[in-house]
Amino acid sequence: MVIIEAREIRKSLGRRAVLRSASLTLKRGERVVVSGGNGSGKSTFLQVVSGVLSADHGELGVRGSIGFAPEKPDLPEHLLVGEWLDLVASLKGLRGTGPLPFGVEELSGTRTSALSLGQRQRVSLAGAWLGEPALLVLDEPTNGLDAENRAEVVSRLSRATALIATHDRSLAEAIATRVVTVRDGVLS
Amino acid sequence: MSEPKADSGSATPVGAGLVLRGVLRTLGRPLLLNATALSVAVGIPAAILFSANGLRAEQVVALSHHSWFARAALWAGWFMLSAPALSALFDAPGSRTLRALRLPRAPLIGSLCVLALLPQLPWAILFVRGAGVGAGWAAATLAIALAASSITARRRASFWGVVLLGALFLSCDPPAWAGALCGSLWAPFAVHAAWRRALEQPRVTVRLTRPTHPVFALYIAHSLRLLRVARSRLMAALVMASTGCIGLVYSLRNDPAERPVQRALAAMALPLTLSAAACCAPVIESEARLRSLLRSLRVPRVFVLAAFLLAIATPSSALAATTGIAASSACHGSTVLLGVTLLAWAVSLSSAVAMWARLLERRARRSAGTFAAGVTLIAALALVSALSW
Repeated sequence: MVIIEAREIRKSLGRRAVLRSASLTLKRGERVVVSGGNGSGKSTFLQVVSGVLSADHGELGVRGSIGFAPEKPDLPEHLLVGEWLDLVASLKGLRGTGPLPFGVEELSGTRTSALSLGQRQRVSLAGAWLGEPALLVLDEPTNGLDAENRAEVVSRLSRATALIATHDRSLAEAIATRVVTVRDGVLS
Repeated sequence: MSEPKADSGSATPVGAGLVLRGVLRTLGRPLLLNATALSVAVGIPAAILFSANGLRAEQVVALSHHSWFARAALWAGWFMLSAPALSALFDAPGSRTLRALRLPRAPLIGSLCVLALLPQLPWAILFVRGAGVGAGWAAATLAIALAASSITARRRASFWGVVLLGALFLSCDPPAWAGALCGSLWAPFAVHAAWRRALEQPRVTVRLTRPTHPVFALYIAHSLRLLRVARSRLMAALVMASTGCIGLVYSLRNDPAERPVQRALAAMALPLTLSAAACCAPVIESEARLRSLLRSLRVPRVFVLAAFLLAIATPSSALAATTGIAASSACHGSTVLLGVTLLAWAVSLSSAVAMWARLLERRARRSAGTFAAGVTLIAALALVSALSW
């Protein structure tokens, strides 16, 4: 079953054409890694697919629910980790958070403003994984993670359908069923 | 534990002027914003209360000396208003970098104390006009010390003892010279302690959410931002609504029979509009922080809008309902009628203000002046419609 069907996606931010032509088909069970240099348009493509940004041109179809973890986890600083995950669960229509991955349970009483980079990443990933969505869209998911949590990401991803942007070659080799490259805003 | 000592080896010593400039540039703006919001919130009702035939500062200060309850109410009220405004001094963006620079302690604390005086200006002015410069200085420094100590106490429980001692000292109604002396000594220590501890997580953090309907989950997230980050705005809303309430109650006591509902609507039009306006910015910020999540989860826009309106309408609606109860007892009228009418009035006015804020937020060329102009127009229209009813 096709989860993502993207054709000729274009996106400009300001005057700069960040994505000039991006096409991708992703089927259930696939884990597509998007690679490319800094500023090549990987993150923009992921944001368009996840609905955070809207495409200027092209056709995009996404089937099923999405769990999105941005490159820079944007957690509201006035909430506790537990409150943030409750909010994500509520917006996903879940009755509860269930058992949380990445050891996030122990952080549930901590203000998000007090988290380290790695902890923020773990909370962001846990939010994306809540409710086992049909598609995970993860931007640099291993940023700031220690070896143990990185291994958990690899283990969990190997059972999921995902679109991942990363510079981490070993992660790509461990989980990717396919690697695509964005170069100067062109993904093919 | 003592602070790490700065390496005094090779670097040139930083002068007091440079420290003051650095602190002003980094923390001045956020503190000034808080202080201005507080001054406006207090200034509007004060301008009405202290108008030509109204109260005089001397009377208020004298009342605080003669009555323990009046003194306690005044200090508690000001503490609740000014403490949130002062917090920007300790946790504003850039304050981490200032801490890491290990600036010389005396100029740093001096600069922080100078800035801490900003939110205390209305309080100081009241006491200067009421009892002279010494009393004004005592009031300002004691208020700073009390607020800064309470910020530390939330991180170090032992500081509650300091807060309690301060409160006891105030309850004894000390003479101005004693207050000025105590405040001048206590405030720098309290500010220093707060500067060291403010970035630590408060000891008690209560998780206030459970998974629920998306609208309520979003509404709770917005409300928590108001409660935890924008308490000074909530307090400002409370002051404005309370002033309207007091005015209405006095008016209804003097003449209970003459169109009480119409007078209630007219008296509360401006306070309720301003209360809603005070809550707009934090709720807009809260929604902005959640935008990526909302879009990626494809949350229906109507849910997002409903949560936004609810969050802005809640404080003014609660204040309106309380006013309705107080006003009905003053004119011996129906509590349900006045309460429900004022509640509906608050919901309508807050919705209008919220929609105006949202409309501006969507436009690239928004400004505080345009927002204020729209809010004034809404209040004026509300007043005219209430009077012409």
